[in-house]
Amino acid sequence: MTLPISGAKIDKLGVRLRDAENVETDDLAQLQALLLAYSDALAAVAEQLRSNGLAPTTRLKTSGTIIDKLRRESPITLRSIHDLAGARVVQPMTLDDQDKERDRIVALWPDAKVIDRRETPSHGYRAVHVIPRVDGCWVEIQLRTRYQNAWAQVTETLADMWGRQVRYGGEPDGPEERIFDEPHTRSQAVAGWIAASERIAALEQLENLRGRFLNSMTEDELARLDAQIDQGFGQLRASLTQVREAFGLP
Amino acid sequence: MAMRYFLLVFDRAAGRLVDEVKEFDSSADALGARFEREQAERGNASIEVVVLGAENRRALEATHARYFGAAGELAAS
Repeated sequence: MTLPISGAKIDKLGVRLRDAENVETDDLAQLQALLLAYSDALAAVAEQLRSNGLAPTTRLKTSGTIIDKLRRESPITLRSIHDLAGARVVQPMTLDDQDKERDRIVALWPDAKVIDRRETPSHGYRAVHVIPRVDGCWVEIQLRTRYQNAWAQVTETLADMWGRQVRYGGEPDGPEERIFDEPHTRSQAVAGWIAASERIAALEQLENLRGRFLNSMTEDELARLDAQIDQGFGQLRASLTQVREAFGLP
Repeated sequence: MAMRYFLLVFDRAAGRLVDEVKEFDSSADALGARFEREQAERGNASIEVVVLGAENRRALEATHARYFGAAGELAAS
């Protein structure tokens, strides 16, 4: 599907959505028509990923979060938002495997932008994003390991409860309030969760090194490294289980 | 297996789905239903109406766990 309105008109629509106290019905209808075009581009990307053996899930940004983003990141234009349409691929893999999957995806769309949030995490968020442009629409493919995804899902839940700004480095609503029966405040919990992302990164790097140097290590070295990795991931899984149970996540 | 499209109505403040998940064969139909529901929920900033696509709902629970925090309760009730 071609875009329903020109690029310049899309950006003007973005300005009106950003500035309006109450969004006009006509503007909402234009946004919906635009999202239908993005939906087609997203479906094409998902099919391409599926035919290459990946199992993506997809989502289009909601109208509310689009308007929030236009306001939060002003003067960003509607046309330049990369994640109006998003596909997510989560699978167990090492960091080297993640690189290989990234390269495989880029080979499908050689002009795609690549943003590696493992090298430059965004307030603890780590993943690899490959962003092709299909029929004039950016589609953000988020490639995550299981631990990167688990971390991101809990962060989303914290943001739901304590304010969306938590995702962008802001203080939670009621920063000094205590959580559950713990002595920690919300502010400390958020800081602790960002630190957990660094622990995940360190463990993923250790696991990656194991894969790289497997053949050049002695049995003793390998056993020690495996014990270290097992212990680290064991503690991490226990923490994740605790947090998931606390927030009712599956 | 073809992609399926799931309409979710999620209350951010309560951290749970507030409507049963509806399933569609086509993304256009699911989006049409989303736009209608968004219109009905206008003014309620806590409500998020979203369409997620996947081969099945289990796949969504892995990649978008956040939405299914209360799904276990709904399924058990």
